[in-house]
Amino acid sequence: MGVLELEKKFEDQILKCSRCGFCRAICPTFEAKDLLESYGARGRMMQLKAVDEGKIQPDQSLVDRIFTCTLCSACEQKCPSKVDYVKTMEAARAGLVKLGFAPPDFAEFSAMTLEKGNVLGQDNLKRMKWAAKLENIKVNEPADVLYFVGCNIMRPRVRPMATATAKALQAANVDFAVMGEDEWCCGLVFINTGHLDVAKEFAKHNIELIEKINPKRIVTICPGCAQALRHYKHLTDDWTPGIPITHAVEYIAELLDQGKFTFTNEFDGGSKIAYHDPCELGRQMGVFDAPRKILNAIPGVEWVELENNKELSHCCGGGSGLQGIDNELAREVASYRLKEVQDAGADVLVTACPTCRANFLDTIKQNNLSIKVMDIHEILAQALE
Amino acid sequence: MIDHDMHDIKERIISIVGENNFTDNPFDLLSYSQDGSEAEGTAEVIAWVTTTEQVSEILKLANEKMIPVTPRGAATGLSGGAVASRGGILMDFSRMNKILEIDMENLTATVEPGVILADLNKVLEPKGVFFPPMPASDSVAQMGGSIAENCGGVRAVKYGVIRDWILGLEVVLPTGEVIKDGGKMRKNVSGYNLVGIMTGSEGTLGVVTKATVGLTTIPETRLSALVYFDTPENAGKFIFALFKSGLNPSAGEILDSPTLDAVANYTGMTFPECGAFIIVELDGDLEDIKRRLQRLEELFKASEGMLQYRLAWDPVENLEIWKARKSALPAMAQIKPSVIIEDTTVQLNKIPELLVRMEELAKKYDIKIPCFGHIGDGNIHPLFLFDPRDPDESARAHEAVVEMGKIIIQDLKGTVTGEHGVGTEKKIFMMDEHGQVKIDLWRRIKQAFDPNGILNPGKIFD
Repeated sequence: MGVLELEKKFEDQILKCSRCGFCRAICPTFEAKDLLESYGARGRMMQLKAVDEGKIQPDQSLVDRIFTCTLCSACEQKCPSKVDYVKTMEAARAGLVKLGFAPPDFAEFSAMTLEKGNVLGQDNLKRMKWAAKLENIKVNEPADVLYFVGCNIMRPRVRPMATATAKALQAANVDFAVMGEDEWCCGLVFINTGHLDVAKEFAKHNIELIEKINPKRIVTICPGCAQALRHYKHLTDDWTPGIPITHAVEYIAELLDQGKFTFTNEFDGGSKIAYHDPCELGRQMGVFDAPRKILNAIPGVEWVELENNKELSHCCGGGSGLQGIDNELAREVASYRLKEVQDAGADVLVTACPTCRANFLDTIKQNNLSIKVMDIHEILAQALE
Repeated sequence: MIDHDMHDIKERIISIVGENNFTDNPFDLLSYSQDGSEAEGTAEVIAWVTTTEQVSEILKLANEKMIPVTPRGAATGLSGGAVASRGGILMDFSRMNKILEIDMENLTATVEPGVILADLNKVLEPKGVFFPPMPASDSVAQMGGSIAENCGGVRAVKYGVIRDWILGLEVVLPTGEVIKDGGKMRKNVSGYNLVGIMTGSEGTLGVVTKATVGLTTIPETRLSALVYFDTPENAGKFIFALFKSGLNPSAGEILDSPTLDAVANYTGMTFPECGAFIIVELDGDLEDIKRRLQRLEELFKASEGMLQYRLAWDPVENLEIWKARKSALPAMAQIKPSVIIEDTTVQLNKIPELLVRMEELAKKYDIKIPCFGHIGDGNIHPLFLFDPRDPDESARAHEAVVEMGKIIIQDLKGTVTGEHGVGTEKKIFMMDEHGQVKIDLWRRIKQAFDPNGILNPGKIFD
């Protein structure tokens, strides 16, 4: 066992990287760092190998290179050796954290999130603002479906997607409940960055509430939350959900198939939509068809595929907490994706992830672009009103 | 570079390329210390060049101070060519990546060395033309590195290697002078062929800063067929018949039975018990390809030891046919974490013997050596699989590679490299393959171009 104390299966993955460089074609941070290998998948694997073998001592410049990977997993699509890159990166980061190497201020960030219950450091009582104008929202009561809303909806510009999703569920007469002000961060950013002890705290708290609601299914609007909830079984020894944990688009697509929606309006955007596949929803959870089915079903929607779509979708730049670690890089990554949107002649970018949405919105503002960002559920809800 | 005033040299490099195109961070240097081979070497600084003048300035400085300089593209190479094995300056061309001109009258493109081959073809596609050399790494491999290594790839059987498509080069010599050779002419025998000697010189004689390459029309379509043979020998007989037939395939790939076993385990695909599996691709206009596919079918039927075949009549079937070949490398990674990819090349009638000898070698050293490659060129890639954490297995794999060299050079009269280059990894075979007189001549050629031996030292020969 090496310096990073990796399990053999992860050591194997690092050795499997043959340094062919095929990941150069797709790694978003390599691209955004002006083709600097140490910020690309191959370079990161080489750095981890050398550190694990004790050939070089970690320092903060290594942390900057390893923790700025968005874990978008695009490299896995191009890798001829099929290296399980994301899982290996998470394990290696956990090893670095144990050695005392984490992004600057991360300890404070962890403490703040644990204290407040959300990654934004806001009063958790603000969590339900999205539901201010909705009626009959069950909170922590038994229900068929648990709607896990996530932290990002506390940002005013992201909030409408939570409202829209709830409206769609109500329109389909779904019996759902939320965890309200008691919901805590899903913990994904801590899983991604190797802070498993912190992630466990969130898992324990949320599991207690999930058991109280006792749902037959959990839906999230953030693909990252769905990923984290699915990961809880690895963080706790005594909890196996035994129910589907899916992103809302998968559920909405099922409801569409069941004829649960009656469209009363045409989408009035008057615009050309482009759909962005979030990395976690698409590549990592394999959900490509559901959002496309929803877009195709909404009257008046005209939409196009971006040049890099589905398995080859380009990361938004917000993954794995990059906005908190290196916001400039996060926005640089987003700029490449937004260029694709412009090249496609679209003026509305539709996505299904609050992190993508937030990072795109920040980048659009910074770069003064005229692209509108909408969540797929917002478009759906507009057509149902 | 240890003997020099590092601070002063770094300052001078920064003054040439700018702060944003320079690094000496240890983790950056580490990330640039290897290519796709086992070769290792860490530069002391990395400079990203973007103009011919910058390349010239850096080489003048290096020549004056006797500092090694290693040019590097995407470092997809498999022989250590882009590895800074003597330290010094690593000169990266990734940011010098403009397509300067596409000339549709003369069917040429002029590009900077950092242009990625697939990116060039993406720009050319709407114009109905393409640049044929296509190494497996074409999605990332750059023009400069591909020229330096004289890359080949699956379509070389019909379209040749990159040397056949390079019409003109701008090159910076190791002493800093800029020369231009060739141009857009298809014929040119005026003086020594410097374009020819630069192409495949592995960045040891000069640094390409601009290349004018030939283009040709994109074929209307490509369709393929696959065929299984009972033994490598019978597969070999088919290969001779195929090339005598005038069918002019655009690709011909062979997978041996250990490779098929690995692919079957990895993908769940099923294959008949066989000695070899061959894919033949035809390109051209659709009607013509269909006629040629029928002739190919007749050839299959007439071939001794042919077990099964399948013809692709449309692009979907075509993709299916290539699936096994494209899965070959990922399949190997599931068997052992590390692999030495060799690049043996023999005359066509030695391919069956090569496959048999590699099978014997695998048994002798108790390791796996699956083989696949390009039948039209006799360019077969034996893969030596091992786990680096198992010192015994690792030693056996490396000893087997050495014995492979003897088999190829002495018994089969072939070469240890058809398209990957010598770099540092195949230097040990050069004396056996070429002899003292030729290596002395190489040395004098190197001396003429690079009197101080600063450019990519330690490559091809010592």
